[in-house]
Amino acid sequence: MDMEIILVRDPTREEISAGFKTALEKANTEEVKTAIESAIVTMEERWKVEDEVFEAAKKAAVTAELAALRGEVPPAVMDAINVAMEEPSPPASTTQEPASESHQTPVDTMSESASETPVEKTEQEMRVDNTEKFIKAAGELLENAKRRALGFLQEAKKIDIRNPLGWALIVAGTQSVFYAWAATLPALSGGNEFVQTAGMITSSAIAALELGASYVLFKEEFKVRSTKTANTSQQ
Amino acid sequence: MNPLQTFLQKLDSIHSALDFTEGTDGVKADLLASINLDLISKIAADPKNKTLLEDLASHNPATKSDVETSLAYATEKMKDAGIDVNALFTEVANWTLQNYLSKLAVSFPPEQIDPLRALI
Repeated sequence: MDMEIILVRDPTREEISAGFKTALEKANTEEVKTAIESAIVTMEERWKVEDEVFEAAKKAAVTAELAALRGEVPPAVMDAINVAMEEPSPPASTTQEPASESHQTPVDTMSESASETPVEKTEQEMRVDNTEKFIKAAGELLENAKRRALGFLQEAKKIDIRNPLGWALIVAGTQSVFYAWAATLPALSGGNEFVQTAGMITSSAIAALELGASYVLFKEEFKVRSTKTANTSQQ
Repeated sequence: MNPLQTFLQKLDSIHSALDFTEGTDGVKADLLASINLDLISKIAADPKNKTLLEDLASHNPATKSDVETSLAYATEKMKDAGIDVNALFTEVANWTLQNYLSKLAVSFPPEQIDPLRALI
C-alpha cells in the first residue's frame, strides 16, 4: 500500500519526504529504520546539490544568452556547439581528393590549354584552394578542441565541479594571461586588429563553453528529475 | 618573447614556407581559440587545481573590462597555485602546431612539411 504513495507520478519533495516518514514510522526493525534514515539523508543531500546546480546553470545560461545578445557569440560558434553536443564523436575525414586526382596526365592537360588567361586563372584558383586548406585545417582543430572541452564538461563531475560558472572561472585565469600577452602583439603582427580578433574569439569560445556547460548541466538536471521517481520506487 | 609571440612566430614561419601570407588572421584566431580551449581543459582536468578554480569562480569576469580588473587577482592566484601557464601554453601550442602540420601534410608534399616539423 505504501508503495502506491511513493509511486505517485512526479511526486513533490514534500510527498517524497512524507512517504519516507510514513515508512520510518512503520519500520519494524532497527536495521530497516537505519536504512530509511540513511536514504533520507542521501535524498536531502541530493536535493541540495540539485538546487545549487540548477541555480548556477540558470545563471550561466543567462550569461551566455546575454553575451549572444550583445553579439559576442557568432552564430557559427553557437551552431558548432550545438552540433558538437548532438554528435560528440569527431566525424570521419571526408576528404575525397585522392579519387578526383587519380589522373596521371596533369602535364598533358596543361599543354592542351595553352592560352594565357586560363593558366592565370588556374594559378589564382590554386591559391584560393590552398588558402582554403589552411582555413579548413585550423577550423577542424578548433572543432576538435571544442569537442574535447565539451567532453571534459560531461565528465566534470569527476573533479567535482558542479557549478557551470566553475567553467568560466578557469577562464578568468587563462583569459587574463591571454589578454596580457595579446597586449604585446602589435609589435609582432603589426596591428591592433589581431589583438581584437584574438580577444573576440576567446570570448566567443568562452561564452560558447558557458552555454555548453549550462546545456550539459541542464540535461543532467532533467535526467535526475526524470529518473527520480524510478529511484524512489526502487528504495 | 612570451609564449604567445613564440607561437605566432612559428606559425608565421610555417605559413610563409608554404606560401600562405595573406588572410592569415582567421586561421590564427581559430588556432588560438583551439589552444585556449585545450589549455583550459588541461588546467581544469587536474584535480589539484580544484581549490584554485573555486577561488576564481567568485571573480568570473562578465565583460572585457572586468577581465582587466581581475587580471592581477587571477594571475596572482594562478602563481600561488603553482600553475606554470607559460609552460602549459607552450606545451599545448606545440601540440596544436604539430596537429596543424599533420592536417596540412595531406595537401603538401613531405619535402615541404618535414623541415617544418623540426621548427616546432
